[in-house]
Amino acid sequence: MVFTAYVDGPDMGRTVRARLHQLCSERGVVGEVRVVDVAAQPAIAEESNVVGIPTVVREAPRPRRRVIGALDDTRRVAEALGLDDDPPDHVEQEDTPRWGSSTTGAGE
Amino acid sequence: MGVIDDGGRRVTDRDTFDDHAIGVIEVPGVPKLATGIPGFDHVTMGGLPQGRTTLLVGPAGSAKTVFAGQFLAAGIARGQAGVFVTFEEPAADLRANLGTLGWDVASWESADQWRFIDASPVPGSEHVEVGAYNFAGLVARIGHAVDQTAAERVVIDSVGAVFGQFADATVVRSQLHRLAAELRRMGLTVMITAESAAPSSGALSRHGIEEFVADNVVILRNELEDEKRRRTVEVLKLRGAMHRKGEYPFTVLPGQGVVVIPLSGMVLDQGSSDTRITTGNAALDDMTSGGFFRDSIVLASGATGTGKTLMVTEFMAAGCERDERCLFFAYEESRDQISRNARGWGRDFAEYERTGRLRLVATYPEVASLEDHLVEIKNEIDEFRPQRIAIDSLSALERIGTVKGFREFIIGLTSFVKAERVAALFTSTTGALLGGSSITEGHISTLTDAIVLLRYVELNGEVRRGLTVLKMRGSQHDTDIREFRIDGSGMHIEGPFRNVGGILTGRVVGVSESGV
Repeated sequence: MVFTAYVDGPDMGRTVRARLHQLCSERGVVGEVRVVDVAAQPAIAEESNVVGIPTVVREAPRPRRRVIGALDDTRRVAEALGLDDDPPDHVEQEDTPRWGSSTTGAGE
Repeated sequence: MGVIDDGGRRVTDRDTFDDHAIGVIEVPGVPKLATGIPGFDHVTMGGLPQGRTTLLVGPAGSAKTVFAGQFLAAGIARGQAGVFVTFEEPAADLRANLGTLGWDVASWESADQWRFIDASPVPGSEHVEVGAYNFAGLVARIGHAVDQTAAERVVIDSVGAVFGQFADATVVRSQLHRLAAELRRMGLTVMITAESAAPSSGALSRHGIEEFVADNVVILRNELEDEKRRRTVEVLKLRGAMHRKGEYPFTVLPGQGVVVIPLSGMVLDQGSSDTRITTGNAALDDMTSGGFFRDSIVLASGATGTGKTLMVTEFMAAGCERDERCLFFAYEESRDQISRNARGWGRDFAEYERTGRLRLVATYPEVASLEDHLVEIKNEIDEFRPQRIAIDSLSALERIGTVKGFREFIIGLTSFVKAERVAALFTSTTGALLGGSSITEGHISTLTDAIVLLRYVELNGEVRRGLTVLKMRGSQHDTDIREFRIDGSGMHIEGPFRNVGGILTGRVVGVSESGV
């Protein structure tokens, strides 16, 4: 999974990155995290329409998912980022959301 | 409040409702940023507190976004760039909507004078909130846009939409508070729009943010009154700074945007002129001891058909004959009718217009609101720069507004006509054919320098016409009620009515010779 973490300052960047890696490794997911410090790269924040900090966007697989907040509640974060979903290799390149389709992991 | 002396100077900058012309005073205390929104700097007595946040509160449809957009557009006209943060409408929509007012936002963007920060919701990018967050992303984006443009003004539209995007209202409140503090630290003058709360709630804005975000609150209203829409702006508070109190009407016009109409606060400090000008009628000149004053406002009142339009025609023609520029606003008759009437009295309006001495503006009153008419009158005066103006009639305008709106119109009209120092003749139609008065007169009589009454007089089984100069400030005048006749060469004022009384009330009675 590929994530972008929008943070304010290097400290927050390290914290969020560590938390995401931990969440992924606990689930056996390979996680790749790109950190954007909005203070240093405001143009990227503008492009991505980021207001709340920290914001984590799951870039891949699609559909994108967006979480705002300090990621304290691991169960809710995992759910919101879809970390516990079925490995969705068959929808990897989908660009459009497919709500109610196999991405929900219904057919175990 | 009160009368402000700007030295009575003639100003050269001729913006609509130019604030120098109507007197803006500098108040010690918080420095103010003149917004440049026509008329608004007068109400705020110099502008909005510089480097602070002002909350702009109003219900849906009260032109908050346009007002805020104008705050930036007027800044650009003064060489100050602006940043527009939108949480509601996408930037593309705003660009198009503001374009209908004649603002080319896209060109300002490419000239680094205007930046959008588009935080409007994008379908499919909904988020989930888990844990604490702040608005550092927004602060960084604003900071970036300010760096790029050297902006001094920021608009955030709207608070309600911010609350709509985030689940935790407490966090949003505290973050908006921090945002306001951050923008203040950056020295930016900020306008934040917010939706009005329901009247029953007791709060001002729906999310109650005025208590902690803004020291300054401006309220916009758009109310239905006697089936007529009336837009007003009111400055509720400017912390540490003076402002004018009460509601001021405003209008939104293509090419100009918001135009606030300053009323009671307009300055009446002009030194009055002793120069006389002819009324266009030799006998009336005699009755007024030499004509109207150069910078006076005269009201001619009478029932329909008593000769008011004729009086205006003679007043205009006399100006044109002396190579003065004359501006005639007609709200009762078409151009053709007016020209034909004038021709019938031996005055060639077409020739005057052709030679640029006369400008005739004939408009049907119902095509626009009173505020729009007032701005149009002002614009015409600014453009044509007349020495004489006439409005025939105020009563025709009276029927399109509320009583309150009309009173404000009259005050606004007389105030800037006085500021322009032109000779003005307004007419007012009385309801009753004999005697009578009109609401128009009630509103305007104290604001005029002279009043001429035209009346039908029923005498010996015959309807005749009488005229009297009821008042004339600073001058002797004839107090007789004089008979006049109208023929193909105009108005002929003759001797006074003798042996009758009650003409002004419409109840004419014979008076014995000894009783006179």
